[in-house]
Amino acid sequence: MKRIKDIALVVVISLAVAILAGEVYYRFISAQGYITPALLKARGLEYKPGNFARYILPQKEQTSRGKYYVNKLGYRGHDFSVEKQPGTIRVMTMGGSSVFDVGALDDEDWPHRVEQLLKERGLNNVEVINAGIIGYNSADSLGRFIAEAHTFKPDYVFFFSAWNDLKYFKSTQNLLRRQEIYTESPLLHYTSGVDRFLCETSQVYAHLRQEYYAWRERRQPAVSEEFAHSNEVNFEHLKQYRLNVELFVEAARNIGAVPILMTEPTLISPANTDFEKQRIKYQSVELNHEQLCDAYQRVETIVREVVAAKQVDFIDASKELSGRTELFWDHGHLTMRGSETLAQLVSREFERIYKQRISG
Amino acid sequence: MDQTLTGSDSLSPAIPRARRTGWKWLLIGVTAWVLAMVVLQVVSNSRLAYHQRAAQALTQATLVYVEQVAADQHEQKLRRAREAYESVAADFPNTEAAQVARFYSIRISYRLKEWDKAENDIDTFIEQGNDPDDYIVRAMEIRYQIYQARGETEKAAEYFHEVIEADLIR
Repeated sequence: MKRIKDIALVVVISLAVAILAGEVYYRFISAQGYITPALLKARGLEYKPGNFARYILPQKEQTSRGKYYVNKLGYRGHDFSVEKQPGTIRVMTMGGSSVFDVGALDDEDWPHRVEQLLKERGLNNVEVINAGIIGYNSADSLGRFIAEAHTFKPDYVFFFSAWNDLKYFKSTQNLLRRQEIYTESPLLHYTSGVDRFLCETSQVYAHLRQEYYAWRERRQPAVSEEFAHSNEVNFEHLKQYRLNVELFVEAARNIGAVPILMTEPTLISPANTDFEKQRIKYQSVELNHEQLCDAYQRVETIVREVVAAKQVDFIDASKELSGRTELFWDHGHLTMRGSETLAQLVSREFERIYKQRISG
Repeated sequence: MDQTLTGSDSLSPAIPRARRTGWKWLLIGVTAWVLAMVVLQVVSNSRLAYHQRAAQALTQATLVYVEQVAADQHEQKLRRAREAYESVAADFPNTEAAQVARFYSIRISYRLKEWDKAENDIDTFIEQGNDPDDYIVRAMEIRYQIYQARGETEKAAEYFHEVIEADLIR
């Protein structure tokens, strides 16, 4: 009996010393430092589930540790008033992460560089709102436009989307059936009051918990197993894509704005080198290189057809930028040089479109 | 005392005293452990508050940087923003916010075409090695842009490979 007690005592003392040592290590030595779900959440952008798009940026100021400034209305970049000031030419850019411009630093995302470049050319009353959201496909962007963006009364609306649409191209089901409900990760949210208390008092607990949930999330497949998909591209989805683009044009016109369609610039091209292919995240879309090139071509063809059929202003950004290795980090996210190149192109083209329109 | 140590006789009158001594040490141990945890928590909270003040100062600097201004005031805005970032780095050394602020100061130097200053600061930034996110790779990209801006096209193209490789292994 005494031997058991002695062993128990040694175990308890060892555990207490280990926990104490762990607390010192995680708080003062570890590279990760002091973490809690709340602190980790503050490091990235906070999203909330949405009705018209899968998720939205809430209406609160966020800085994502100095990386991306999101204003009080939930849009990247400088503040703007809901009511458009008289004489202002309000421009909105809609799309996914290539429009949000994840590779660009604050004040240099291509939509805001367009604003600066236009001001340098004398269009001082131009105001650009970056309405891009990371991960948005054309349906999300359309939802964001008809459920909020139109209330800002934009005069011109840019729109492009491709990569995030390709993500559902292998689905055997309609877009409506796709199971992508926005869930709050336990990595970034407390699961109970006890969990919160433990995270806030023990860094050993907080780090072990972090490791556990990260391991659990790594084990989850990139595409939900409930989401039925085949090995072949289902080109029926191109009809969905075409409809989204057409509806976007009509929605913009219905509120009196001028829609400007763009093709999405991408690194992907049939001539990609092995070095470039290393950067393309094939697993995100579950398509091989040939399928991807083909899908991009088909999507761009649709945009050009809609442009021709509906007489829409158009900037062929893909024709100008795609395949240029130094402009992209990966398949489609622009480097800082890429953002600047796109901003130069868009500002030049916008000036042309604007002058054509005011001259009648 | 010998009996206590050997524990050979449970009826010995010394044993209750030994038990009392054991409990006393256990109590001391638990109290010391709890105290140590409390001290750690207090120190951590104070450090956390310091880091949060640094993050707030960084947000203020960011607000200066993203402010919408007329074209002829843009350069002044950049200089004001750089001063604000440099203040964050000076006022809150050894924080993540300071490191991000140093990075943005470099970027602003690049945008103001002060390429020599930007390049020197990039060297220091990379040497420090403390990267809260992907800022070292981004600093490398600024160096690539400096090569481009100086017309060193071949050097830039070679260096771009290094930048992408650094990003891929990150």
